[in-house]
Amino acid sequence: MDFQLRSMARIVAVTLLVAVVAAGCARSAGAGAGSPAGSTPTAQSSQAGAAASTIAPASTATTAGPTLAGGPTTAAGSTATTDPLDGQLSNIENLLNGIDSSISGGAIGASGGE
Amino acid sequence: MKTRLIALFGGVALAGSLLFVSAGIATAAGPAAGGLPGAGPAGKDVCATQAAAVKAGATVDTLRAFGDCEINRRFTTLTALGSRVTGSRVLTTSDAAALQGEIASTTSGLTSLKATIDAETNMAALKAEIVKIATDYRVYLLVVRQVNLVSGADGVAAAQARFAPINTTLSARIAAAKAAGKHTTAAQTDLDAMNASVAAAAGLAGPLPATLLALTPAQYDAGSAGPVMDNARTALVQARDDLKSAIASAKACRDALK
Repeated sequence: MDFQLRSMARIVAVTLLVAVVAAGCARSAGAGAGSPAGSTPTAQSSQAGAAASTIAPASTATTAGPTLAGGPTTAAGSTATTDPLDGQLSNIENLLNGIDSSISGGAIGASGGE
Repeated sequence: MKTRLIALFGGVALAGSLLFVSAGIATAAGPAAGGLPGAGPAGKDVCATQAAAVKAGATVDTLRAFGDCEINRRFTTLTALGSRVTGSRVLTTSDAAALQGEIASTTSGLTSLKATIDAETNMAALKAEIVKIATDYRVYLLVVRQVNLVSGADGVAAAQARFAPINTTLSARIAAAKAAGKHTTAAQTDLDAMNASVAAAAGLAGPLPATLLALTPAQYDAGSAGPVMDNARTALVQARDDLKSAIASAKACRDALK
């Protein structure tokens, strides 16, 4: 009887461990394929923490997901790829085009005479 | 009994885990599922037919038709200028108002002149009135250039304002790089050059609107307004070049910090 109890306890422990690891892997893989979530250390640690802490109910996990996928992850991703200075300098270059047009006389009255 | 309880607990835990995995996948997949108007109608050639008719035989009718045509094409130009001023994103409120006032007064004056021409029956007087279309209003030689040059000058001022946040950003990056022990001399030199170029451009363009807006057709006819506008254009070209240098310096500064 004791042997059986110990065996069952081991099975349960192994099952839980496998489930937790599988949950963590699945969430990371899913995020990498379909959304920016999980692309930052913050998101990954949050997911690992959630997986390690408990076997969360489905509704809790679903609620937590969008939070991870939303704000800082996306912002961090765009920061890594574009420099805000580029946009600011581009705006000034557009202004320069307008100044060029003003200098050249633009289209209005270019051949208007006196 | 104990064995059954443990087995049941294990089953519930496994089911919960699978549910959690499914929810995680669903959550991860969720977000993924989820100028200038043309001047053609107002060009010189618009009244070529009427001009040819006057040359072929000047009469009250041909002169009047020519005068009306010349005034109408100026109306077209003035309307386009008004739209440009209204739609401008760089003109200051006061400069835009001044230009609109000038456009309105010119339009009003030409409207009165057109009425005079339409009522005139004396050939000599009619010719004199037609000459006034150009000399009294100088739509193309003065008003159009005023709108263009003032717009350009205000564009320089707008560009100057947009360099301020760039200066802030680059200064912060230089400070951060310096704190990290990096060499920032080159970057600082570039930033200083950027600011110097912007200041030079602003210095050149700043006085232009007031100078240009004060010009009158009479001053143009007297020969004094033309050189002022030529000088303004030269200053604007230099200011434009300074802004281009400023952009290059900003990029060099940014690159020096990479």
